[in-house]
Amino acid sequence: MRLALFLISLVILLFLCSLLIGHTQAPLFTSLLALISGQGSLGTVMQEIRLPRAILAALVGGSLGLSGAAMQGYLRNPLAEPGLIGISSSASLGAVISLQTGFASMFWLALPLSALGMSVLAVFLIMLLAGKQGRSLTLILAGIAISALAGAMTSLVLNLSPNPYATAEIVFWMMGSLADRSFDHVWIALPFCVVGAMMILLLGPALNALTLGEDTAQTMGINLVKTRYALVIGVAAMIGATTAVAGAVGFVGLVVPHILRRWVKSQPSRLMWASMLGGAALVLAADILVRVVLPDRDLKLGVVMAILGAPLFLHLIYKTRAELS
Amino acid sequence: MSLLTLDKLSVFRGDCPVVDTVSLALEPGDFIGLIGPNGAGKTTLMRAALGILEHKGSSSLAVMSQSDRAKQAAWLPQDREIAWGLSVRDLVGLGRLPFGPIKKNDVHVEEAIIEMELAAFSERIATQLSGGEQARVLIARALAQDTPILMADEPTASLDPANQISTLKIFSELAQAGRGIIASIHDLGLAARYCTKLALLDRGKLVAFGSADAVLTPDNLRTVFSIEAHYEKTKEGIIFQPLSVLNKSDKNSAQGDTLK
Repeated sequence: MRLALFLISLVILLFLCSLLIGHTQAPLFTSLLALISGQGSLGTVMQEIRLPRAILAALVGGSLGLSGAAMQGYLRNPLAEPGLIGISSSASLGAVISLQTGFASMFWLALPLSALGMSVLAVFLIMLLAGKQGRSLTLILAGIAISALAGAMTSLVLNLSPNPYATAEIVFWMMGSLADRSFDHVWIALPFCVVGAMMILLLGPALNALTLGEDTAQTMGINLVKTRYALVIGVAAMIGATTAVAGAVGFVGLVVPHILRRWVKSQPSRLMWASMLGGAALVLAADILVRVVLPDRDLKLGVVMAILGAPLFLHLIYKTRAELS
Repeated sequence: MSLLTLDKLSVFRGDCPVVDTVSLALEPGDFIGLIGPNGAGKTTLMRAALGILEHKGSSSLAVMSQSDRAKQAAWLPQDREIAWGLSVRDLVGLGRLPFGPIKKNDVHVEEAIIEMELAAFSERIATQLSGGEQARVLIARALAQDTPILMADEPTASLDPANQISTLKIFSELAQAGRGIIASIHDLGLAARYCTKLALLDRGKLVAFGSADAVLTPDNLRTVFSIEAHYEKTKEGIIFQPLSVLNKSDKNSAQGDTLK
């Protein structure tokens, strides 16, 4: 309970910081007034640039954190992450193809829609490959296969790209960013994230039961096949949508559940809520950092996330090692 | 009325029957010890009976809806999987999942913790306990499910003698209170002492079912386990001690006998 309060206030605080930090500096009160009234150039900046950016950061972070916790709980493996089932690489492939073919510049929705479309295709492929039995091992194997295939196709597009500008654009897009996003991006991601999150959060009891293994979970009334459908579709909805609007942002889904696990007494159901809030806080913080550290160089969120995430992860490994010995 | 009826239950791996037309009934008060050599199909039989394995024939449990089944039977598998470092109390509390949201200080959970003598560990992290202690935690989890039927796959493996005896005593008390227990047990001596009935499986077939007297006959021991044993009824209960392994030729001739 105390953890929930702490995380919620952290998210609110970082959300406000995200609104206030940027190219145009203004006092706290003036900024908030401008945000509400929307008047003047500051009002436009607040309402049409900062607000959607902050909302997207929270949305992307929350989705990544929640998906990570759900994947780890489902696979009973602290190394699982949302990218494991191949959705993020498939969404990337969709976006890359649309950038390469020029489809992306035809209308603003083209890129996110291509990314989402490819995610949907990936979900069908995974379900087809993973079989009807509801065991988790086949799901991992199918996910790895799809990931590898989507990765290879992305490389192929880059490899054969005749246009160096498109190539550069693709490379930068793949680093993940929240810069220059609008409310249109929020509206396209929001419904998928909300529906996906609801599907995943309902899996709390199932993930708790899976702590005791798949056999025991089944005898405790958990339908493994339904659980897997809900998990894959929920994660795909969230990850497909966030990748479509923000590109590939790594490490959040891996690191956040890992950090928070000890604070929720390792309960998979509570870890999902905590990771959703924690992920939102982490991405909000990283997105603030992007703007503060190199404001003029368009530092990419995904890059900062990896730079932050990798040492955090190393620290955790070090701690885990100490606990094991 | 039987708690569980198996009718010509068979499980196939490819064309090969791993469990071969087993019919069995579990009555309230029964503590059935499932015995048989390695690979006889004990685990497979229980999993099929629970409806988590595809099978031919019928099991009265497997035809129920999954949520009804969870209120009817608890399952304690042999591999003691505990994926996350939950506290002992939270882990035992998982047994209440089939009955909706888990309450704090649920009576069944507290009873199970006391029954398995875990009160001193209840706030410890389950994955940091010893193998035997983890086994007791998982048994407590199954007890907390508070179902008419309890099925356990080698519940006494890796327990010390005192805990083996107290676990089987708890099972036999549960049976006396009107539940039905099926447990696979490798220690025939313990099985003979504590189970009300023994079911002897050999290569998927139920070859004997009944009291220890009727099942642990020198003939069955020779043909199924290829051992010789001392069997004696004393006022302390049944004393059973395997003595020697019969050599191959004996076993072959014994199998020849049964074929005739």
